[in-house]
Amino acid sequence: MGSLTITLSDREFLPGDVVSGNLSWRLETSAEALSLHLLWHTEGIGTKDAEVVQTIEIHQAGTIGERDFSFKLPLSPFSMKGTHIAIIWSVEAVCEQDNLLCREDIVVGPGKHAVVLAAIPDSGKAAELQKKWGLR
Amino acid sequence: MPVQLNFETQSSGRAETGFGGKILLSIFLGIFFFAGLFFFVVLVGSVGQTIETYFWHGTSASFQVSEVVREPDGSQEENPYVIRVRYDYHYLGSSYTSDKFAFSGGRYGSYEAAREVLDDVLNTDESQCLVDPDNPSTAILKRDSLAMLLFLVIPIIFMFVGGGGVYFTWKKATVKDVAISSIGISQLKAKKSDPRKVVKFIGYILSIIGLALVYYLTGDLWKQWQTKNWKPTDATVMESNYLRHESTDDDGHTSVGWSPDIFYTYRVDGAEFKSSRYRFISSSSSDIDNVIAITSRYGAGSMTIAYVNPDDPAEAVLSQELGWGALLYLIPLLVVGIGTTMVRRSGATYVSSKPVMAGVVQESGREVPYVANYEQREKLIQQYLAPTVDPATGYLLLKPTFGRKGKFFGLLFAAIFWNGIVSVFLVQGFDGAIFMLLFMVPFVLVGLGLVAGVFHQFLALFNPVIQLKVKSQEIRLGQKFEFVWDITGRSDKLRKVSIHLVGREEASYRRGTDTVTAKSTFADYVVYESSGGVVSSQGNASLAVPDSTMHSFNATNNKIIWEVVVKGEIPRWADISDNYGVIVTP
Repeated sequence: MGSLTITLSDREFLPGDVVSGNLSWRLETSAEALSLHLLWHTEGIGTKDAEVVQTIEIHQAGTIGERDFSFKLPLSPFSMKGTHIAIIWSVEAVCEQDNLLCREDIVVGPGKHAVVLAAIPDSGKAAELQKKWGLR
Repeated sequence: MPVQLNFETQSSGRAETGFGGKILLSIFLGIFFFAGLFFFVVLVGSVGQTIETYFWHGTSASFQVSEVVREPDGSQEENPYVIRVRYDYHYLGSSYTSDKFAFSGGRYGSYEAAREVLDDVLNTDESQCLVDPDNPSTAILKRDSLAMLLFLVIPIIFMFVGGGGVYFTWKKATVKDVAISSIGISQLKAKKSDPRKVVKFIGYILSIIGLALVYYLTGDLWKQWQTKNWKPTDATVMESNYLRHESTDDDGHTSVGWSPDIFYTYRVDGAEFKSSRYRFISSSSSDIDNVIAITSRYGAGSMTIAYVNPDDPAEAVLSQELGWGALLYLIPLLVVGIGTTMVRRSGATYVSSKPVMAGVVQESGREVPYVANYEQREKLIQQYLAPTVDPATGYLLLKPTFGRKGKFFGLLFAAIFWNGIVSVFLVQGFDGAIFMLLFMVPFVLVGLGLVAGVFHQFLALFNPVIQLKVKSQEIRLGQKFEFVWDITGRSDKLRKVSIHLVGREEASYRRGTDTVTAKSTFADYVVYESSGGVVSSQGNASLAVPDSTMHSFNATNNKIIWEVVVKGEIPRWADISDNYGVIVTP
C-alpha cells in the first residue's frame, strides 16, 4: 500500500503568507503525475462549497520521492467558524493512479487565528412584529 | 490549473451489471433504437414528398370553382369542412385541369379554418399552381407544411437513448460514485448524472411548454371574453350536427369526445357571411347529451342570434359564455408554476476547477479581495473603478437591493395578471354552482392579498427617501465605515430612523426536493438611531468595523452577507425598510 505525506513548515498563517512544506511519496507503481493543491472548503449545515486556489503538478514522480513546495496564500477568505458555516483551508496531495490522498488543514486569518462568529438574537421582521403586538 | 481527474475507486456498493443483465438491457434499449429508426424513416418518407414540391414549377391558374363545403352532409366526421377547387393551367404548351388543393389534409374542423387557408391562396397577387415537371397533369395549389421536420427530433432522441444506452452498457466503467470523504476535495466535480440537473432541465422544459400554452390559449380566452361586446345579429342555421373525436391511448383504449358543429349564415351591411364557430373556447365534451342539448337549440333552417365582431364581420359566435371549459385554461399557469419551482429548487453541488486568485487591479495597484465567484469580483472591480458618485459631494451612492418602484411594479403586474384571470370567472358566474364558488375562494384570497400588497407598496412610493452615501469605496475590516445621509421628501413624517450594519451567515442545503436556507445573524452594529421623535434630514455617522469579524463571502451554497439596513417609522403609513448590500473586505 502506497502513501503520501505532507509536512508543513507551519499550520497557522496570515493572509498573504507563504505556505511551504515538503511532499514525500512511496507508491506501489511508478506514477506519471502527482498533484498538490491549495484549496478551501466549507463545512456545516450548508451544501459543501470548495475552490482550488493553486495547483502544483509533479510529473514523472516514480515510486519514491519527495519535493518541497510553496504556495502564496491570497488575502481571503479567512478560516472561519460560525453557527452554520465553517471555512477550512487545506493543502491536499493526490495520486490518481494509486488512488492515494493526503490532506492537511491549515488556519489562515488575522492574527493567525480563525474568525469565530457567534449568533446574536434575531432582530428581524418576525421579532419586530412580535414586539409591536406585545408578544415579546 | 488543477487537472480534471478520472480514477478507479472503491465502489459505494453498486454491483457491476452481469452479462445476462447487459444482454437484457441491450435488447430493451435496442427496441428503443430501432423504433426510433423506423419512425425516422417513415417521417423522412412523408416529408420527402413535400420537399419535392419545392422543385415544382409555378404557373398561372384560372379558377372554375373555389369554395368551402361541408361534406358529407350530416356526418359526424371529425373534420367535415373541405376546400373544393377546380382550376385550369397551361404548362409547356399543353392545357390541364386539376381539382387538387394540396397533397394531404384539405379537411378542417371548422368553416373558418378552411376559409382562412383558401383565402390565403386566392388573395395572392397572381394565383399560381405548382406543377410536377415529371408529370404535368399533377398540380397543387398549396404545399404541405415542413413543420413535420420538427417531429424528426423525437425519433432521433429515441435513437440516441437506445444506441447510447447500448454503448454505455458495454463500455467499461471508469468513474464510480464514492463517498466524498474518501476522495480529495480537489477531485470533486459537477456530476453529469446528478439527478437534480435532470430535475432542473425538466423544469425548464415545463416552463417553456407552459408559457407557450399560456400564449396560445390566452388569445382564445380573451377573444371569448370580448364577445360580450359583439353585436347581436340575426342568423340562419343551415346545418346542425355534432362531431365525433376519437383518441386511442397507449393501452389501446379509445376515448370519444363530442363537439357541436352548427353551420350558419348571417348578413352584415348586405354582405353574406358563413361560420361554424359556436364559441372560441373549446366546447368538446365526453357527454354526448350535453352536446345534443346544444345542437337541439339550433335546428337546421331555424333562425337564431349570432354575435358578430364589429371590427371584423367575418368573425362571429353563437355563444358568449365561458363555461366550465375555461377553467382548463388555468392549467398552463399550473404547468409554468411547477416548472419554475423545479428550476428554482433543484440546485446542484459542484466544485469549480478554475483556480481563482485574488487579482490585482492594475489601475488602483491594489489586490482585489477574493469573494469566491467571478460575478461578485466583477461587481467589486466595477465598484473600485467606476462607482456611482454623487457629483455634489464626491461620495459613493449606495443603492437598495430592491428598489421601491421595482417592488411596486412587480406586485402590480402580478396582481393584474392574477386578478384579471380570476375576475373573468367570477363575473361570468357559475349558475349557482356552490362547488365552483368554493373552488375559486383560494384564488380570490391570493388576489386580494396581491391587491393589499400593491396598495401597501404604493403608499411606500411616497415615503421619504433616505439616500446613503459612503465616503470610501470599500468597507474594510478594522477601519471606519463613514457615511452621510440625506432624507428627501416628507422627512417630517418620520418619527424614528435607524441605520444598522448587519452581518449574517446564509447556508443553503437540500431537504428532500426543497432547498432550504438557514440564516444566522452574527453582527448588528447600530450606526445611527434617532431619538426624541426628531429626525434630522441630513447627517453623518461612522462606525469602526471590528477587525475580528468576517469579511463578505459569496459561494454557491454558503455566504457571509453584509447589509446596511435602514428603517424609518411613519405613523399610520407604510414604514420605510430598505436594505443596501455592501461588500466588507479584509
